[in-house]
Amino acid sequence: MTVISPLNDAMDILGVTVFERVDNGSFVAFTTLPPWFAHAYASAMSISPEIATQLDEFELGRAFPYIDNFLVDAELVWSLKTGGPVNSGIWSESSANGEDFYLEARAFSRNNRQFILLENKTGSFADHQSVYQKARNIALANEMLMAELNNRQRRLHSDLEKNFNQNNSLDQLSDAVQNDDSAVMICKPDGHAEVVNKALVDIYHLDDGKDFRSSALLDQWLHEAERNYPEIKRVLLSGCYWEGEFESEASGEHKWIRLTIGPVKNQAGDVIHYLCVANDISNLRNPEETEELAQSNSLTDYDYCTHLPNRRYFWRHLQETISSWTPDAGGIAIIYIDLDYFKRINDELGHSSGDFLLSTVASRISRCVKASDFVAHLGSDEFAVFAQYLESESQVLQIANRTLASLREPLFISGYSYCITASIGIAYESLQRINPTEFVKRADQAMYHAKDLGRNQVQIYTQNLSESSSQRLQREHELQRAIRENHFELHFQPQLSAGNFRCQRVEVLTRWQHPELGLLIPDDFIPIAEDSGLIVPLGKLLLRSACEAGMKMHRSGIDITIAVNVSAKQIKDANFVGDVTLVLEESSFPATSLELEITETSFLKDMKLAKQTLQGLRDLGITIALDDFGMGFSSLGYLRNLPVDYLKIDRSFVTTLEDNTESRAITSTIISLAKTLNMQVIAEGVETMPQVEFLQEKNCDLLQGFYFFPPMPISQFCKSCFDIDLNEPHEVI
Amino acid sequence: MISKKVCMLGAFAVGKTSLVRRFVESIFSDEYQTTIGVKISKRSVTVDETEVLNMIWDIEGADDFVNIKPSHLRGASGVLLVLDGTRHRTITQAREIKSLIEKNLSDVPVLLLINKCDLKSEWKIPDDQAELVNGVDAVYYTSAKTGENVDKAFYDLSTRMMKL
Repeated sequence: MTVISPLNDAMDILGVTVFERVDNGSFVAFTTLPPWFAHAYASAMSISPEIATQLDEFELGRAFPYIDNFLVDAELVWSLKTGGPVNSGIWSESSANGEDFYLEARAFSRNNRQFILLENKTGSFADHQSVYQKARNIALANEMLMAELNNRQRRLHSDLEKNFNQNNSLDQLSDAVQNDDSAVMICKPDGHAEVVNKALVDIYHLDDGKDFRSSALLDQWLHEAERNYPEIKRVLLSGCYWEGEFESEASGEHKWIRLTIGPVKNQAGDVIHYLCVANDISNLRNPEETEELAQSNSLTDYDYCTHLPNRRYFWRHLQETISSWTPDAGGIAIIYIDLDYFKRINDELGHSSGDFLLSTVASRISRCVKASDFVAHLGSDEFAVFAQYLESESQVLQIANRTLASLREPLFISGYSYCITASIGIAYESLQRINPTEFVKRADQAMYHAKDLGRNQVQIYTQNLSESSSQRLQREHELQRAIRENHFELHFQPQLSAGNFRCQRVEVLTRWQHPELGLLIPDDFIPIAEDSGLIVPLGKLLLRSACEAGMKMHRSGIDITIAVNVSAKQIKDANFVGDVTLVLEESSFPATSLELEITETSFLKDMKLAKQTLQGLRDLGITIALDDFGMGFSSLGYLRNLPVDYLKIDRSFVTTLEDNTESRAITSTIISLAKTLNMQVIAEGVETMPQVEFLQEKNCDLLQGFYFFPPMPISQFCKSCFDIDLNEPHEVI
Repeated sequence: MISKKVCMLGAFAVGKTSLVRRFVESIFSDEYQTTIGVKISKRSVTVDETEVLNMIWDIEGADDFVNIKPSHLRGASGVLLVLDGTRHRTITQAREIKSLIEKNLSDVPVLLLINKCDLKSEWKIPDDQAELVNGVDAVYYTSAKTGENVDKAFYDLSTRMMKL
């Protein structure tokens, strides 16, 4: 059936034609067949356009694969008495003479009759395409500019941090940044501005820098950014770096600002300044796009780096889901994931590698959960998974363990292999309704418990955990005091020659004499010291104490080399060699009797600087040992270039020598590698006779572990030394 | 002849249309012309003496304005997921699209094409391809401009689709 003019003419003008589906699945034209359809159909069916116009029925699905696919959606609409329309989206077809048609189909039903309307959009397509072309060209240009701007901003931030570390004055820093294109503000923790540059004055339309000193711009930024990044205050309070984009008001004008904020800490680990670098990115954002995105929440709901839902979106999803949840729908759980030592990695490798790591973590977590589980990046190094329809707590535990295992898989960053671990907390509920805040708090407490227990593990919330969450912060405050008042004891663990068990060396290990908890081992406080930056003053204190103790031993006739652990942060300190020289001078301890144990992270970011520092130490007569070798960064290429005297095989390989083939292979390889490079090898964590025998067989040079001696206080150590006579072979005990 | 639907997916401007044109017509143009909607092209390859007609759905790239319609994936036997080695952001977009594929297609081969390998000096992606997008069946460094690995990737996908 065909309709008569003038409706037919109107449809022709509009470029539409309508088909009705008949019983055999074919279609009959409801209007006069327009030439464009005849050409497209003829080309698709390999017939002439003339024949096409004479057909009574058309096999639209066979002619056009795109329509064939669309028929599935159309069937749904046609199943209703009056349904639709449903739109196919635009697709293109070519005629035999190479002419392109841009078409769109709509399916609808009326009174149980089934129709497809085809619209020829070729006429308006050029305009439509031109708009998208321009939009995408702009988006591409913006993307490149944003990438460049982000890199530049991070570089500037990092340069300023370095300048701070080199003890430049605020005046010098002010001079250095005054004419930079990026806005810079250095302020006190309360927001009082100390340095502002011209670009910042320009963005905020202020006449001079004085206004900034009382304008509390930091507070304004925190308040404005919090709308998109609810975690910003917590991130900064925990002494971490933050970056993001948000809308900011500048003298009544709304601007988009990209901001980085990083804390500058003193040696005691207290934040003394905030370093802020900002750029006005309003021009890089299409206002319509911004509005559209803001409406759809896509800008405010996703994390900048990982593109996962952010904290804000997580909370909304959690509240919405929990409000309608009942126990008969199965259990619900929050898996709270915090990466171990992420700050250290970020500091060592740079923010760009840090971003890559976070992005990879996001991908790995998403891989370990069901499609229906909700994965979010809460900020910094924290992720969360909200899972539903669970049958038991053990099911959640399986997901968490799978995630932990996946995160542990080696990751390659800047040519180095690295293992990341995480502390994971689980809160599970299957019996009664729960407040979302309480639910998150439980998962968070379980995660902190996992951290306290040594990280790299999963813990499930129990009632007993509720008191432990604030303990960590408390521990940090106590640690500051302990450093000020030196509440540390040194313990000494001998390293024996593998050939004859002679002892001429000792590793110095520290214990914290806690006023209430008693003697704490390094695992209880070194991670806190590392995270808070207190490791630098603590390291200095321990080096001084160790040298003084070493000198006492020398004076008592115990001529022994002492090995002291040094953190990566100390090695990065430009004054480190000078500090060590001073300690040696003041303690009169001979440099040739001092060994410094460093880890691979010490030289990852700046090999040149690390090499220079290590060479400086060696020039003093100090020997260098590379600690925990075999774990973390496993690239061996750097070994040739570094002034290192000893390799210490990581204890995890030594303790598993008896039942792990890989550990035996790795240990043998490390020993053989060290021999090739003229280095000596120390095996730590030696606990059994078979381990001793294996290491002796492989020509390991030195052995250290409980099989021989535990770490001992100085008095006990000296007594043992005198008893055993260090210069005589020692019998194994 | 066996007909198989292949979907070209990726962020906008990663070179999906250029790859299809290189494979189907052996031509390349430096000018970026954005795709609107879907364009279906065909080219057959011979796999173990069987002719396979690839019905290649070149689907408009995802961006802030346009999302990929899940219905376009329906019936696909294989996917070529494309990212641009010079644009870091296209990695995350490829990951999002991979999730979409997992939700809408089961057990179809997905090959990751890291395109614009002729511009390797400008690459902004990590060296470790295994970390780029999880769960893809193979990774190819391609250039629609030089033709590097383009035929190889399509042929590999056709072979994998035939094994299903």
